[in-house]
Amino acid sequence: MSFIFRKQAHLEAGFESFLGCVERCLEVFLPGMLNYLEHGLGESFEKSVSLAHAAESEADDIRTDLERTLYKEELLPDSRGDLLGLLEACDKVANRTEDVLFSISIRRIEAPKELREDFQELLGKVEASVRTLLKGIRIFFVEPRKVRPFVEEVDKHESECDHIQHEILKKVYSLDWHLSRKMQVDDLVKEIGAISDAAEGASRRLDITAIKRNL
Amino acid sequence: MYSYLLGSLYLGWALGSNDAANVFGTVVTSRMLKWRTAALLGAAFVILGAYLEGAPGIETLSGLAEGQTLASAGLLSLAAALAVTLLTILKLPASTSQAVVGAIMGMALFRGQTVDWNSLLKVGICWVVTPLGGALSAALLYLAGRSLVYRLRISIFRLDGYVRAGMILAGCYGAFALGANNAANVTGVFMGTGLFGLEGSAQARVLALLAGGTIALGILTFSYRIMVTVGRSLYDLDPFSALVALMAHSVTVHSLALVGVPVSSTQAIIGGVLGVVAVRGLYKLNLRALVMILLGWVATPLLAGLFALAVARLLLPV
Repeated sequence: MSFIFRKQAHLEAGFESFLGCVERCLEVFLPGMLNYLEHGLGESFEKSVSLAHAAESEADDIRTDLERTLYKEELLPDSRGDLLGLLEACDKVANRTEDVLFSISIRRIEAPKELREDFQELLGKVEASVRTLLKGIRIFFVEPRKVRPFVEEVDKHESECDHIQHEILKKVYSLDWHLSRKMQVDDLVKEIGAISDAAEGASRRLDITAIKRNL
Repeated sequence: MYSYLLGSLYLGWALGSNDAANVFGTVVTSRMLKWRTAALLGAAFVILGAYLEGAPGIETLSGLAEGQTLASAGLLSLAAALAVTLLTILKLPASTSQAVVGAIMGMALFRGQTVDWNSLLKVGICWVVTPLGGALSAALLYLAGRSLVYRLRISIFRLDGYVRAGMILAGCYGAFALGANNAANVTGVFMGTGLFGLEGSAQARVLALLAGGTIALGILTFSYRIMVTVGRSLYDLDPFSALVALMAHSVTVHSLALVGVPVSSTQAIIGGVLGVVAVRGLYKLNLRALVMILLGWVATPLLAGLFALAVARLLLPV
């Protein structure tokens, strides 16, 4: 029996590694952002950028390996397509975390220290949406019928992110900043929000996949 | 003398090319197995089923068709084959089992023989039991399987592995059941005609083997297109449900083979699908499928009976 299911076990382990990588991207991103909000650009922030890049590259490598494995291993074709879609949607979440840090580093965006608490609140909701998504995916692998509450929770966090984003933007445009800085921070807020958007996109995909797999 | 077998051989070939789809359609459509592999497995297990367990069905049909001569047996097979072909061309459901029984009745009417009502009643009951049994066993298998998956918290990856392996095993079992059950349709009417100079169980074995061979030939030569069509419609179900429907079909057809009554494999799989669908509450009752089954019970034997009467009047001395 173990011989027959060796390939399935390999896939299970591969997916767990991938989810672990996405989690690592988040765990590098969050302290990097908090550090940036407190101390601004600097060596310590650049270190976070490199770590995020390394974690995201690892996620990409695992994803490529999993994609090849999914086609080679003995999964049902219907499942392959769904799992590939889920993998892709999840990878977008990891990409978005790296994008934010890269954007700050390349554009040398001055840290909006005046709005630190608002940004912290936004980051907290982003973290909640991604962590809930990852929990939902892990549950999906063993009990697809129990996925729905996680999808609803991600949706709730994403709505809250939208609300916080809106409030931050209102504050940004009411501050006495140069327009170019306002626009940079505007972009930054939207890029951070894009992480929870990506988490919501992945959770919708998860929802459909779970419905299809439900017995 | 062997030319009398032509109708039967055609019937076996048509049965193989049509009914293999019920057992391997999903496996081929979902690309779990190549058609060639599925056809080879199907052919092998049909022959095995016919040879090992085809005899009871042959005895039942020979009971219905007692006193046949080689000519009348050949002609009634031809009538059944014509009826099945016509209904297939008209895209109406055609069950070989029901066509053969109808043709036997037509021939009995022509020859002024009394009908063995007991055997006919047994056959009729089994026709009704086929879709009902398929539905009931599918519903039970589905509930049991689902509860097992939930209780053991089987991961989706492992479940895929089980379903994949299960589909192939259930397909082989289904082909075995098809051979065991439907061999009688193909050559059962020749029992007692002295064909091959054999009698009793030796003749039943040879007839079953011949039937298995012709069904296998149908699978190997002409089953691809129907497999893909039927497979797609079954694959609309999720793979787990399709596996359950297939298992229910195979259990039903095999059980009825042991009882010795040839039945429609298609009606068994339709019953299986309806059973799964009912348990899952996915769709409303599929009235079209039910009408098709009812039509199969009435139209197929009636048409085959009329054909048998007609060819007998034309070609046999009164």
